[in-house]
Amino acid sequence: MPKFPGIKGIFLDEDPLIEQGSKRLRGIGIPDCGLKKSDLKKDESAYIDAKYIRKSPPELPEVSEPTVVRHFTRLSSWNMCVDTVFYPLGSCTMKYNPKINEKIASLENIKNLHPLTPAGLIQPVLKIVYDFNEILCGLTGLAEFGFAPQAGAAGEFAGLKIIKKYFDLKGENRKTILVPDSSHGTNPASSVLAGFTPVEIKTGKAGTLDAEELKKFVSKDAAGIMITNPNTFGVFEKDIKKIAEIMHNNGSFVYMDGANFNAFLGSVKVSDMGIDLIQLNLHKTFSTPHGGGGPGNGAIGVVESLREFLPVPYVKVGGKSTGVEKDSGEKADGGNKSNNRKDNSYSRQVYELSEDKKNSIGRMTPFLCNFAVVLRAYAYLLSLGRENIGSVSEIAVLNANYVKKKLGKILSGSDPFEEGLCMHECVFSDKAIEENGVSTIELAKLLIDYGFHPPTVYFPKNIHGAIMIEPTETESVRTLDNFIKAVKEIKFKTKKSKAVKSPQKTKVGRVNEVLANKQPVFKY
Amino acid sequence: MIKGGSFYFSKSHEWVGRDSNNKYHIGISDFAQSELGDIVYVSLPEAGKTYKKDDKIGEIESVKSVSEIYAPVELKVISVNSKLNDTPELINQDPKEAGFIAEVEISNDSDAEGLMDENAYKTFIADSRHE
Repeated sequence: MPKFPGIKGIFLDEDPLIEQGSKRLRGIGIPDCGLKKSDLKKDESAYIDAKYIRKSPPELPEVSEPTVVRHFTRLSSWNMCVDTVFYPLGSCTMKYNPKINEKIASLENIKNLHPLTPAGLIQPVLKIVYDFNEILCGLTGLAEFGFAPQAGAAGEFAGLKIIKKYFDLKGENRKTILVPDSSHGTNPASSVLAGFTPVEIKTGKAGTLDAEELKKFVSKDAAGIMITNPNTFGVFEKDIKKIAEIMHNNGSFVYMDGANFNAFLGSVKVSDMGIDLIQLNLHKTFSTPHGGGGPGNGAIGVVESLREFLPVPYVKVGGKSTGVEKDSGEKADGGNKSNNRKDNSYSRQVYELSEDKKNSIGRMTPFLCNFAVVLRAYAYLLSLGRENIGSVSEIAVLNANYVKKKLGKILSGSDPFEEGLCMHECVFSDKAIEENGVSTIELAKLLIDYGFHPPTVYFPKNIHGAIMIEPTETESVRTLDNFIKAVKEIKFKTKKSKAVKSPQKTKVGRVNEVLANKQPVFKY
Repeated sequence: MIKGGSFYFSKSHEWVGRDSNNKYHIGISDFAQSELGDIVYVSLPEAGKTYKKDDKIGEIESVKSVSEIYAPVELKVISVNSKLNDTPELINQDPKEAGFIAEVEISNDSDAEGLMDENAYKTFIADSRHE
């Protein structure tokens, strides 16, 4: 039966591209390669190893160019993403990514950059990494960042390896890392991977780690503490300075999971809280499209005493390069004021890729870093400007508290931290919706039909049927009001029979989660 | 199997069951399975291994989250319920019989008796829900 796209609005049916083809149809013409088939036949193995020669031609879609364009444009219209809907996924900053970042990362000379290009030919690239390090040091008060980790958890791993190596060199055998239950789930996992045993500390009713409680766990066995601040309930660890002091007095390090940096970016320096190491998820806080496995950058920042432990290679300033510009036209002069433009002579800083860090934990990636992520983060910060960086966290916190207060009235009795303020995200239990017969998962699925990506559900685990919302600073009050209105309607108007079937307005309706978990089918 | 036996419960929602032959089994409570939702994977304890009370002995993965299973008392694992490898949903269907986790040996009978009995556990759940 023929299908007629566009008749009822969005076309929600589409055959795989390979089934849309016609035999011998070609979308583009490829120039003759100059070899005749008969030439090849004589002795194929002269060109290609026999084991790589196909017995039959590859099965490729035989389609015209417009078919391809329409196919992928249609598919993209089914995508629920931050460019189409509000994406309040708590515990994992998913903010709108300004398009200027993409524009810059897509420049021809950036996207075609070969990772083995010699340092002398990519001076501007190295300068960006070098300058970005200085910006991050300025924002955190730490001494240096390593950009090798390609994800947040890889940054945690690097940080813990650094702590491990520090004590190994000191000849101290410290076996444990203290991890409050309010920290991110990756924290204990990274500790194990780096060779430590994580020791869980239960947090109090206020959702924060109590300094007195911490003291019970401190011993010479503790290499450090991994603390997420604001913690995974979206609550600021008020005792952080006291916690750092207790750990430092014990000769231990304080590692902060920086995944929630969006909550205080530009407002507080982590060095003022007594933090020794932090990973910054550049892809979250500094806006790079991410999720589904990458790309990311979990830059690891350390205090002065740990600089020599950072992963290699890193960018350092070498000598100066001097000479005379050949062209008389406008030329970049590297910002050097002593440059005399009249005679076209220049003096530029030279950036080098160096492996010279005497206690380095080694290499974590084949090359320097996920440069395009660093570049987007750099573009994001420069387009904001130093004077506006603080407003990112101010508005993120304001937005989260707006949702907390307004939804708190609708979901009465469901806010476990009703008394205080939250930071960049707020969390509710399922108490109020359950009274109306809707479960957390049903609320999440129903929200999809209202045109919202669901918030994080059933996490944190210690809150019953948790619903965790992180609006981020990028959302307007109008969007937040619409979201709140949707939750209100779901709570008061939805019938159970509708809830269990939702979502109904999407390409794919309610999926069988049990089957998807037990028998995942991976295909193109 | 455990029919007609007596059950004791831990605060982390595991049960220890003693049958009429004085054999012990462990599993997770009906309340725990209903909170977890559809279970899709169980990582079982090691047969022959001894665990101290509150040691982590396995993991349960549901569509909502991954949770740990703790030893409700000090115990030695005699054999595990390997049916759970292919049909973890047995825990949802029948947590106290077909969905047991392992057959175990307990050094002191009084260890099990020191846990909550059915009535005490019911009260414990009701209280924790109102928190």
